[in-house]
Amino acid sequence: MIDLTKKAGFGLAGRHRAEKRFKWVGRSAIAISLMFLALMVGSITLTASGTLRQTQIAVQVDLGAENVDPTDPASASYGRLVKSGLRDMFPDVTSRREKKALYNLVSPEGSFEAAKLVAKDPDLLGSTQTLWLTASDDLDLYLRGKIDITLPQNQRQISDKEVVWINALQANNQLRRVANWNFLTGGDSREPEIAGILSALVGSLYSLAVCFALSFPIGIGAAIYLEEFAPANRLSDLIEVNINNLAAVPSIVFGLLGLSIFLGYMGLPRSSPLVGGMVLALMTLPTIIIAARAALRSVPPSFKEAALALGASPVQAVFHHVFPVAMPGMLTGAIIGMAQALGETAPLLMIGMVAFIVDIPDSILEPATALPVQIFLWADSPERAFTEKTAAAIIVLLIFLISMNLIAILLRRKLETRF
Amino acid sequence: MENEHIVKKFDANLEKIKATIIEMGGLVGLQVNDATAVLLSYDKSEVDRIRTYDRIINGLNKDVHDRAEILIVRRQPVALDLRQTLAPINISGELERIGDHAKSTAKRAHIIHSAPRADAVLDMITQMSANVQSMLEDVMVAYATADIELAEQIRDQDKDVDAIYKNAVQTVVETLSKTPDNAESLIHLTLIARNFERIGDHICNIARYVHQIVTGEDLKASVDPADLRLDK
Amino acid sequence: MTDPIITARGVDIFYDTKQAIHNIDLDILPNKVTAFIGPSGCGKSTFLRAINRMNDLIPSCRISGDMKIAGQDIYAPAVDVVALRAQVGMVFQKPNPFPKSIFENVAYGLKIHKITTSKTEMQDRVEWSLRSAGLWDEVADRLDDPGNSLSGGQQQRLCIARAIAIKPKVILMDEPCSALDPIATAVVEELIDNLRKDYTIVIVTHSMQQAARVSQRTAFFHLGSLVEYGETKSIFTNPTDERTQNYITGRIG
Repeated sequence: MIDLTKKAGFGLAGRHRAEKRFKWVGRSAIAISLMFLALMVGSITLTASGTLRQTQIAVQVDLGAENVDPTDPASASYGRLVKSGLRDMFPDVTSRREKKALYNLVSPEGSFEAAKLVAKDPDLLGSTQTLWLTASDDLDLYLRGKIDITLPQNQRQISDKEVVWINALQANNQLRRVANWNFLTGGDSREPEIAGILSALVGSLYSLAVCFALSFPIGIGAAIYLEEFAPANRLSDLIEVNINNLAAVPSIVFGLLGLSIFLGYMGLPRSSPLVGGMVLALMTLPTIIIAARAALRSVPPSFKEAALALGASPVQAVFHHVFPVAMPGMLTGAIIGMAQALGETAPLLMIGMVAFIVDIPDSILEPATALPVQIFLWADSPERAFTEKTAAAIIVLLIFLISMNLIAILLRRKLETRF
Repeated sequence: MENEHIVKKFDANLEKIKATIIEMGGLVGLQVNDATAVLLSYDKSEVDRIRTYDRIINGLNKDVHDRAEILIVRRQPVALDLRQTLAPINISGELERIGDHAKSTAKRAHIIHSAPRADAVLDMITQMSANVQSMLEDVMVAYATADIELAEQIRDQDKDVDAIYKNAVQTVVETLSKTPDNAESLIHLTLIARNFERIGDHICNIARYVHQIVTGEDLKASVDPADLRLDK
Repeated sequence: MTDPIITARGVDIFYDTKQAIHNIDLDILPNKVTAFIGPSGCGKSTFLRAINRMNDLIPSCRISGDMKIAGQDIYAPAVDVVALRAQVGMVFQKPNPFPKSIFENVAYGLKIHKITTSKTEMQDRVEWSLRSAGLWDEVADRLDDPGNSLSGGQQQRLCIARAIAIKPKVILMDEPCSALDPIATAVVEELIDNLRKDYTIVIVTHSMQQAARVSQRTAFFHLGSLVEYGETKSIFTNPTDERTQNYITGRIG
């Protein structure tokens, strides 16, 4: 009699237990990694949320003809006007030190902002106007409760006097919080309340464009030759081993190479996305070649055979039949390489892309910095407000990465549907 | 057989067909022997036995056909295997016909028995019977052992049978003119002699098939039938 | 007797130092189906691939001896392998349509050889090829569908259509039905028999029944040597060599 429900024997119970155990180990491994991911993204987002809005102070600025020349408003000293506006609000402030503290409520960029506002709207000239100027980072932090005022005065960035002024301003509705577009549209700055990410973003974009333009064609070309045409001999083996080794070389070594060859020998412009892209291309090449070769190898040899048997030349067979099928895979490899390059800091430090760049670069020859370098720079800055900027920059970098991967996936899907 | 098939069943199936043919050969030999015996001393029960043999032989003939058929379906034999499968169909047919001749001989036995004996002709018929029985035995050995030399000798033996037959017919014609009253039994004796002559021919055919199995060549059909067509 | 279209004299083929083909002399007759049979690794596929120099793709493969098609040595230095393969088409064991449309599959050979540039001529030729391959009625209304959306048997006939589109003289088939079911196999075999009128066909097969069904001449290879070659009928009814006998009847030889 055959009993299919019998559990005893065959060590069935043990085998089922082992299976269950393994499934649970796997699930918990995934759960732990998800937890860490959530923790990381959560903490960064939380920290970065501070950059979403910034604080502005309403300052009465006398733009009368005696202070600002209506024919040439740019020549006026807005800094002095802003300071006098602040003094007018708190007439009891007299000592030099207190005055300095009072002026610090407004960001050092305040005078430029005033100039820009006037340039944009000349109707403001001729009378006293209320201008909304960016407040200092410390004021911003205080308003958001990030400064613990129960501490002794010398251990915090903001004194009791300043707290009084801020409260007074708040009572008079002379403080407001607005969306911080400046972060996405501005360049770097020494002042955290003004510092923006755009220059680094553009620098990264330029570098990646250069990197892709160099490494993709060269990498794919090398991969196709090595995989489909190169004779199988010692030299090919040697090249293959070296490419694999090159992929494991620390990136800073490529930076040194760039420094000595591109800057030292070839004399290309320092700190430029051109050189940065070239160095990143060197670094990405082995990755692209290895991924592209794997993609080519995964194409069934029967396509190539069929084409050759029809009388196609080897180049025709490869480019008509093998290459299109391998294309999505090669593209994926290239995007992975690009993503790596995007996150790379060390080689860029070596070629001087670590500079303090306020202006947004217009071409690949101008000095620029890159996102990871910017993050590195901000993380290094003493001002507390830069912590939030760092987190926000990381989020920008992550979004950049995700959109790159998304493009890769879309491209691959589009190419793959062509049977 | 020099080499064995990879599929053991294949060998077993071919062997079984061969064994059936040899069994048929044995039974047909007995039938011929018994038919000759009743010719010499009539016994009704013996005749009945010969008829029973005939039914068994017919059954075996069908058995050979069925086995060959299923072997072709299952194994798609080629070359030697194909000949070893197809030839038994023909051989069993020939054996069955020999059996029919033996039966026909036995059926005529009581007519011979009730008429005056024509010993001269009867002796010749006995001689023919002995000859074809030995031929049958030889051909079965030749078939069982794939011995083409033995198979080739059968034709020579058949010539003896043909000569005796010719002699017997001659004797009948002579006797008939002397004793016309015995015409009926003499005609039957002639037909009986003819039965044995035919048996010899069938055995020759079997020998031909044995030759064909072994060599793949058909001794008789060396001419393309298309060449013989009259409208050519 | 007609002159052979392919003549091989003293052909040896080596993979590195291992000899795969030993001194083969073989004449292949035009407008006949010639079957190569023999156990795995006997060299029949290697020899087949030597006929359109597909072995060139294997760097370690060396060939010596004479291999002539219509009197021309195909291994002569002046011979362009592309021109050779335009004359000697090939169909493979697994149907391998290109990952393109049915039309593109058939038109590919016409395009690379620049046989025609006119669109209507191209369409006519594709239709002719598909008709010759007995596939037209099944695909006429879906020429833009991908080639691999067809069934296995249809794919193999598509590959045959692709091969005959450029009108080769010889078609080599390397176990063309081994991946097909019996019905699809029968359709392809019928097609092979029809193609015989216009092409010389050499087919490697593991199915002896198939060799017996489709071919007029059969060559039996064993351990890299040509053991027996002759009319298919006589090979399958009365082989002269004991090795052939043992192989085709399934005996331990």
